[in-house]
Amino acid sequence: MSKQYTVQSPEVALNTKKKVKQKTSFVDLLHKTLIVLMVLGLVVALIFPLIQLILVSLQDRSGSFVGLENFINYFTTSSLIQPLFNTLFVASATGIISVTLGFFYAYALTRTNMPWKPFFRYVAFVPLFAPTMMYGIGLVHLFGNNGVVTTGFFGMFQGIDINLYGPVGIIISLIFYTFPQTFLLLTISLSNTDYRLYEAADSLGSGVVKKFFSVTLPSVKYGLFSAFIIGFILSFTDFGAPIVVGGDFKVMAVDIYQQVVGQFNMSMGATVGVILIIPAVIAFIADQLVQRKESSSITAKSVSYKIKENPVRDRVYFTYCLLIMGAIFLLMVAVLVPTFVKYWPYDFSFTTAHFTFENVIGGFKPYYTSLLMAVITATAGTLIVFIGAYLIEKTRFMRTTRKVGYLFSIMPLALPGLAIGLAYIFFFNQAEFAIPFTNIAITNPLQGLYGTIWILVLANLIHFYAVNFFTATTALKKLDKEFEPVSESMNVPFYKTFVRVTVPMSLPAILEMMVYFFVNSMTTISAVIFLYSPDTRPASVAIVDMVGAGNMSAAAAMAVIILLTNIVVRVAYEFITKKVRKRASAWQQ
Amino acid sequence: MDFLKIENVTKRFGNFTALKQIDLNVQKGEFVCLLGPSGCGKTTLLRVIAGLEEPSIGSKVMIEGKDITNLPPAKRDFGIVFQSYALFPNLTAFQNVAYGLKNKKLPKQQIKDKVMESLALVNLDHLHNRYPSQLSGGQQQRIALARALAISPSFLLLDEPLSALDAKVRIKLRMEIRNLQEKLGITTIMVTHDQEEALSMGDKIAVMNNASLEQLGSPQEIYEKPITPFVADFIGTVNTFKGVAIRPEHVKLHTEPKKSTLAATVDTMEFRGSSYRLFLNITNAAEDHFDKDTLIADLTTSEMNRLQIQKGRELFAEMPEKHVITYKEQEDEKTTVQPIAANFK
Ligand SMILES: Nc1ncnc2c1ncn2[C@@H]1O[C@H](COP(=O)(O)OP(=O)(O)O)[C@@H](O)[C@H]1O
Ligand SMILES: [Mg+2]
Repeated sequence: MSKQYTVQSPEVALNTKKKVKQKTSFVDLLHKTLIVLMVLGLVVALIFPLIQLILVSLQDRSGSFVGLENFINYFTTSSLIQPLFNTLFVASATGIISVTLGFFYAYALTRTNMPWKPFFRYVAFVPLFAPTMMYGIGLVHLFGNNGVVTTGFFGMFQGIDINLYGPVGIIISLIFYTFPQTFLLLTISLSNTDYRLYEAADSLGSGVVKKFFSVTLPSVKYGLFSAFIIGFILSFTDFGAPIVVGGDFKVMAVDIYQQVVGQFNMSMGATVGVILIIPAVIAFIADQLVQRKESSSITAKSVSYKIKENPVRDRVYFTYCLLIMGAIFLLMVAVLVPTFVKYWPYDFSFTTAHFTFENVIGGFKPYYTSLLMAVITATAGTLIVFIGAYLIEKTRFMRTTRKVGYLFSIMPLALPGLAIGLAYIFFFNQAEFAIPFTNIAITNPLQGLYGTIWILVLANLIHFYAVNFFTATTALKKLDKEFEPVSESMNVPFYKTFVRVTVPMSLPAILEMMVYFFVNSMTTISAVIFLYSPDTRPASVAIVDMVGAGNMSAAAAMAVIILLTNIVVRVAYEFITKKVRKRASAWQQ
Repeated sequence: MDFLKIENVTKRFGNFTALKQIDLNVQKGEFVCLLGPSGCGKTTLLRVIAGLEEPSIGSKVMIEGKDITNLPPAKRDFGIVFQSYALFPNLTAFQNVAYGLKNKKLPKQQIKDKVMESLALVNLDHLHNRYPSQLSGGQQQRIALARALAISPSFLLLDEPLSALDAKVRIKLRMEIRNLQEKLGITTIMVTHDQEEALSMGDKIAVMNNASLEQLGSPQEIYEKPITPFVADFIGTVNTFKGVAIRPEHVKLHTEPKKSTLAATVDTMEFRGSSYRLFLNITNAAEDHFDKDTLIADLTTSEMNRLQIQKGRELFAEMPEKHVITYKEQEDEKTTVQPIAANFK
């Protein structure tokens, strides 16, 4: 062998792209198998269903292939395409308003000396813990046909009708829903600004307004863009708000639901589902490109912002934050009060009967289903996503496979829950798959999942995969990349180092992932609305059903219970994280 | 027989060639420094030796005559210390050092003894309960060394083990590492970009540049007889003229002209404690062999006083033949080399 190579001319040896293949030990084999399993798992749970969704969108109602006919139909029929325009309008308006409100809120928290900052910060996050239907319900109680404001506090004053049902209601609901996210992103962006720019502007004698437009805004322009994108995509794909306050104003999410559940028009449902993905994919790619730019604009030399004394500014922003907080508070009250009232708005006697759900959805079963689903998703999902991220980030084998795995792992970020739900019906409900270009068909071994709680768990796992994957990857990147080679040199199998070092070091991120999975599984409606069975109806679906049946107070009660559950979990998380950090402080500086 | 033999090692990352046909032999018990500028491929070569990178087909890594090119790292029996040390932050010094031993299914007491013995080797047995963050940089470095040695490896790989430390600690640790290595007799390959470190620590130095090995030799050979301009220039300072070169400390200065001396005037002087460095302008560089017209010369302080050197003063530089460096590639171009060498006589 050696002779053969030594006689090779230098050019030949240099041009060899082939690498020496190392012998695979049992541990390495296990490691590689896990990587393959991770990618295969994503193929089955994500890629195959997506392909199935696209296939159905290329078929007519009887299942024969029609190419792009459905899409052509969609874009040329004004009644079909109207929801697209409606959705674009709602999403853009929400994005702009949410970013504007979020920006000044974030500015108040990062750039002023106003009091009550921690309080304002916590309150801003509360909307994260509620299903989107809740804002709609609160708004109906305030501005609906019999709402407090519409009727002028039940006839005491002149009533004001804001035409809630339609774009107004949807947009207001979605502003509440997206506010925490835009605000959070902008807080990060604003605290990353380089103060030297302000010093430079000061030395040039720039005024407050000039500085705002020449320094502040440009330095957060990527943050503003990202925040808008988040607000836009969340609103573009939301189902919970329009189902409650949408009225006759049809958005795409509701359209898909009605096509599939109302008219059994699977192929048009799939077509709208595919169209729903497109803007998300574009926005996602644009955001990735912009983020890449931003990462280079902050250097180690940057100086953090110094807040100057300015009582007037502080008072203005304090008032602003009070107003925002007041709006959130008012909405909560509007949700809460009717739940303790016998028959809103006709019989105001006190009752707790709405919290029993006895005569509306038969008790607490949907809540327990949600709880079970959220607990399983949080534990299994965190385990799977963290191990998945670990395999991609911390391995030296199978470079290409890992790259594919990475791509699959971030793809769900661009996938609306509805599209996932829809794709899952088509994929998991299919009795058998024909293998293209052959006569062979294989029975679907996964069909058994359909109708069980497991398909709900799986849909949630995929729906929230990417965000948690980023959390895990960020945490893993902070760990020395030589931990694994050092362990290998000492002949310690990778799983030992994973358990002994990687997991303990990443515990805060792991807990964060669990909470994210839990909270979102409790509130989500879009991914599960197509997938539940009578036996596995989650609480969020029960809310929609109760709203549909006109049981607003019971629906509100369920939303409140979900919100409280999530807040309890979040507080527990804060508590545990504090403990973890305290324990870790022994080995941290 | 060579302990470690590297043959024709090539490594590509996509279209980029990080290592170009490297051949390197290391004897048992030797301390070899891989020296070269940042990005020249030192770490990559170390990782290929460790098995952490798979080289191109045709590359060969052998230990005591046994081909280990396709063995995974775990089967190669080496200890490694990375630039970052890669100490596990959540484990104490003791647990870090015990990490590789735990896996060997040894009795508990034996592990404990071995760990304490390794910690004693680096004089840190008294700090065994500390977490890495509670140790200084130098101490962390020594714990990493103890961890690498605890598994009794047959050779040791060090990747810039001292580069993260401040100058004083670095010089102290140079000696400590070298003494320890001699005491254990363990074959060691250390990557560094610091020529002083390589000269003071290595039995041999392998100078790398641009993915290739330029020269392998003892520190003296590398310094006195560099075979390429790169090596001469990278290690110490050198006056390079066409095809030949001479180190500043070998330039002899006279107040009167002698046979084959060059006239030059003092341009600037740099005081360096025990010596001065002079920058001279060559005045009679009529011969076109001198493509440069400045000359650097190092003089002891007493020599400076004796010659009463001042700025602007004319001196005559002699370049003793035995110190003149001629490069390998030029050896067969005798015609151009000859007259210049004559000039130096
Ligand atoms: N995994 C990798 N992928 C691509 N390029 C790499 C990789 N590792 C190293 N390189 C490149 O190979 C060259 C040599 O790297 P390295 O061996 O780390 O240099 P040194 O240790 O001498 O500073 C550098 O240009 C580096 O960018
Ligand atoms: Mg290096």
